[in-house]
Amino acid sequence: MNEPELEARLCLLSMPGMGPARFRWLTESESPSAVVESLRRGQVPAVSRAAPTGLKRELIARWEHYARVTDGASLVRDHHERGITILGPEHQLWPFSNDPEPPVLLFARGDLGLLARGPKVGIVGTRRCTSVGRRVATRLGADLAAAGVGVVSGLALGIDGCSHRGALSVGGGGAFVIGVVATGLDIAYPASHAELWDQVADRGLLLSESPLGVKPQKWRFPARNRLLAGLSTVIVVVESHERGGALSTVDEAVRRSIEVLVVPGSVLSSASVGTNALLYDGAAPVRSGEDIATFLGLCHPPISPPSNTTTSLLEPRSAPSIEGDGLHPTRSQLELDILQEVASGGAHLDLLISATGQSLRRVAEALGKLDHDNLVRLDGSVVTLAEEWPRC
Amino acid sequence: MLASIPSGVVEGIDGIAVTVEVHQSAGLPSYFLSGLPDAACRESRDRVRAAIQSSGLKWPPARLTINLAPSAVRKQGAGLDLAIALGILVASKQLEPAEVAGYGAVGELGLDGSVRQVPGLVSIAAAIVCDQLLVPAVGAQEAATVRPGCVRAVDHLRDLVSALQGNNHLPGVVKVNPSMDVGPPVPDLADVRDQPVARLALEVAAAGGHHLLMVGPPGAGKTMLAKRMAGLLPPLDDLDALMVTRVHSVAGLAVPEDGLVRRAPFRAPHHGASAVAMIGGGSGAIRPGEVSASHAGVLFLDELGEFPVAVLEALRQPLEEGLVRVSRAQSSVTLPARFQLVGAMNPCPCGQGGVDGQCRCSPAARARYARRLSAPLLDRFDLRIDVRAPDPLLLLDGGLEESTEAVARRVARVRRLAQERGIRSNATMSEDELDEFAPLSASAREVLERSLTRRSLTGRGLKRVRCVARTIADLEDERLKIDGPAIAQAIALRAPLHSVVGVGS
Repeated sequence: MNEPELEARLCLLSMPGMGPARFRWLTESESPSAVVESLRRGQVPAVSRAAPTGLKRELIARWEHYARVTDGASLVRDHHERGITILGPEHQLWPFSNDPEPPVLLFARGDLGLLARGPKVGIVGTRRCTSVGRRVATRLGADLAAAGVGVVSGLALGIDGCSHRGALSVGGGGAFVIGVVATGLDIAYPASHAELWDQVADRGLLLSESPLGVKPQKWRFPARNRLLAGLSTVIVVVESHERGGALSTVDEAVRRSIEVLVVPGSVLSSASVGTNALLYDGAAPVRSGEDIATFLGLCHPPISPPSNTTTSLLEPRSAPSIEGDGLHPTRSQLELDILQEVASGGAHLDLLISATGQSLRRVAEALGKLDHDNLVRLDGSVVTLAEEWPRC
Repeated sequence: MLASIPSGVVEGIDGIAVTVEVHQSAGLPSYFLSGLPDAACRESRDRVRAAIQSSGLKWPPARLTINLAPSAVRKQGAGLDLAIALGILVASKQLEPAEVAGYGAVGELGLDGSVRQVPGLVSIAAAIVCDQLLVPAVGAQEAATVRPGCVRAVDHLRDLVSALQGNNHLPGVVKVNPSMDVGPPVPDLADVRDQPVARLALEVAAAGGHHLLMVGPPGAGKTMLAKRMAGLLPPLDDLDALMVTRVHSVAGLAVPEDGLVRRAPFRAPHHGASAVAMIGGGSGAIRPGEVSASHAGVLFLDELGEFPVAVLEALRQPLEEGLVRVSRAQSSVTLPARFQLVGAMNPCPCGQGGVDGQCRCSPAARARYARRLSAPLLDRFDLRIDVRAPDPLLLLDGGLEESTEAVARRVARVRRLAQERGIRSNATMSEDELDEFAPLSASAREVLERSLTRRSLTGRGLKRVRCVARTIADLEDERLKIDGPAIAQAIALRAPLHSVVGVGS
């Protein structure tokens, strides 16, 4: 792709309300630079098909204005000045050659080499996740990163962010993490994840199909999900409510014949309704990072079923810094009972008291010890599993 | 002819003695009232004339000058009517000066001559200088508690005049029958099932005087719990009872028939309340607000997040000092406001935020909700708990839990312990008192150090947790050292600020 062609594409993509579908409609019979030229002259570009629904005359007028006041070369310069690489379909690392709905351009910050590496696991899930979901996503991210498997996620609140935090927690410098976001790379969304964005860009790769300045718009998130699915070797859904973005990623994965694995959840947890439904429909369950590695052919399935993964998720990953041997502090029966109650989701103190039959005095004392060993946390009167990394 | 009758008015909750002077002179019939009367006071002319005529007495066809001394103080309300009427009757020689000598009078007159109640009668009665005090029947008991042996209840001007003239007997002196009766029962704690944390929090709050914040989804029973708080508090002692009676009398709230308010007040203003309604003030007479009405009792703010920010912020000064100062250009009034704050709120606009993964609010909506409550205000709550909706099956079939009576006995014992230590309540202990009365055992120190290194506890939080732990240990009848489990419970009952209305992920 020559420079003027790139400038024209970038100019078109930066127009208000412009997505891949409208872009394709505009450029069906003319080159992008010819379309920009005719918009500049105030002519509706020559198009063969009828306009996509919802396209209003006012929007075309805004495009015409945008084309007149914008210089494609300066747009390209802006991206380069911010250290953003622009990839077109001609690029040797272009990952969407066989995609049914590829992006027009890709904007990238970070290590482009990761696009060529494999395998990559897309970890997705709800933003409204439970403490169990957080812990599982963090743990899966960390386990996959430790096994040298890439973690692809959307950098949203909840499961997405946790999986990346987990992956980033392993190892020092470079990390095999790819964040696929819906907004321009200069607009961190959610704002509270700005730091995580930078970490992913610095140590891994941050991708978007939106040029600089594109704000979060509702339709861009499902569009982003198709890229996430397209980049992944396999998709793992950690938690999903009955409806949600994670399920749209699943649809995109199915469309591309990409396998979907699912973490089972409690049938009482509304954050697991969507995932359990996928299991019912025949998706394979994931109990640990090992299951994913087995699926990817990285290790052989164990002869005997893996050791009780519930316990392994409950025990601290790294030894807490306490005196004594510290690795396996002996737990009282009450502490074990509490862990058992909490492991299936957050539990109110009231429930712990009635389930264990102990007074608040004894329960509070036991919780203090568990909290110290970083196994649970007390969030108000609700006890949840502790995350091992900073809260997402 | 000149007459002078002692009476009084109320400013804030303090009574001011007023002498009503009436002078009658020859001239065109007229009526002058001087001494800074307000509108209600100035309208006394028409009420008094009608009452005198309805009582079969004569309105003097002469020039009447009435002065309310001291004349520089504003006089508010209609409580001077009775004194003015008696003054006019003396000045017009329908009563002999000797017949009213030593009598003070307070009361509003109806057009038919009946004597009506006056807000703040207790305070006024305490201020008037006289041997015998004539007051309306409603409120006479309260007045008698501050002026034992000299209060007489008057129903009607006609009867009073005829008695003063010696034609029949004056009503007897109102007897004081001091009782510790707290009045009708309030909802019982025995109904609160399957919520052990909330039960304990209520008990600790009542015993230690700690402010309590309850966060929970709609229907979890926050209001029900708060209503049971009043029954847990011990009856008011004489000093508090008198102060509360005075405030309630001024505020026009119902006061028990036998005189003193003995039950700790429980006030639950709606979240539409204005700052003036909450703090006190208002145009004209300075009226005590809800913070004063709940003095020595509980101020319950349901839907805390819905109160205007200005109203909530105005609570901080009374919370700190135990009183409010309402300042006017003319005067400044100090009202008592040592209340215990109980707040209830939803964790977020959708109400489901407390349950793992259930909240349907956008982060922006949660952040907006959280901003309504300032951290300094939330920090005043020593006890911050999530209230979970109890299991409905247990509500139907569960047995009764420990009753209010049993819990109240423990609460009273802890309150007595605090008095023996010479402190008002465990919640108001200073650093020095904490070191003296709440020494930490080794295990308690260990738990605290754990929390401090995990940064789940701040320096300020540390002090509050020790106060609460003192109360918990007192309830467990451990009077000396604070042990580890007591501290652990205190920490468990104090949700960190970010989790109360935090912007979670």
